[in-house]
Amino acid sequence: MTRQEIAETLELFSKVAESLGALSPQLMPAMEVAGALLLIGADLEGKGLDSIQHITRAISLDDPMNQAQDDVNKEADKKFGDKN
Amino acid sequence: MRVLRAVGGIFLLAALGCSSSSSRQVQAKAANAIAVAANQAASLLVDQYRKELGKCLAFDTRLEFAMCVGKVNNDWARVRADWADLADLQNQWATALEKGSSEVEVYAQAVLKAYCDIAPDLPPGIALPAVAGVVCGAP
Repeated sequence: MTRQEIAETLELFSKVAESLGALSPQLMPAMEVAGALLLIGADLEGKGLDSIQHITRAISLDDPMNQAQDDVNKEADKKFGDKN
Repeated sequence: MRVLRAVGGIFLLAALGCSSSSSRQVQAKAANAIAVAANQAASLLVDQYRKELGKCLAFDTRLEFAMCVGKVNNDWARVRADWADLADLQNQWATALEKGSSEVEVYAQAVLKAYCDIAPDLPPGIALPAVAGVVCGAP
């Protein structure tokens, strides 16, 4: 698949996606990464590793898990009050 | 642009399915696939972790709640540590790709191993997504 073909296909599907409405905010980071990786895949197929320009970075679990704990702690505060 | 990037993920899997004669490229593709799977799994794992924590709210006292949260965090501690290792290796792999380093394959293999190392440490009933071309435990 050439870059031109990828661009044309993505353009087509962007219109489809827009017609379906906004995607889940939780999915967006992962899907953005996937989109960037698509370009890597294209480069791997076409020109080899030397031409790769778009690289993903890993998503951390710490921040969202800490946020989850904070959220649950707030719920606990509501339920149990300040009593220990 | 966000939407454009989002739909790109749909086609990545097809791109990864293509054959390659280069071992280096195969390793990099597998690492790509793991990066996608891991980043998708991240949301699933966080959701599951949140659910487990949420169950602790069913207890009647704060002490019981705190003990429950402690157990949940203990259950997930290894996974979080494994994930930190995976994330670190993914970033090193990505840096190697960006720089055109000869260590790309080494990091790609390390990413493969790190991804497989997570599975045994997951709490019961939770699994990471299968990754095409990746068989954990293979020689």
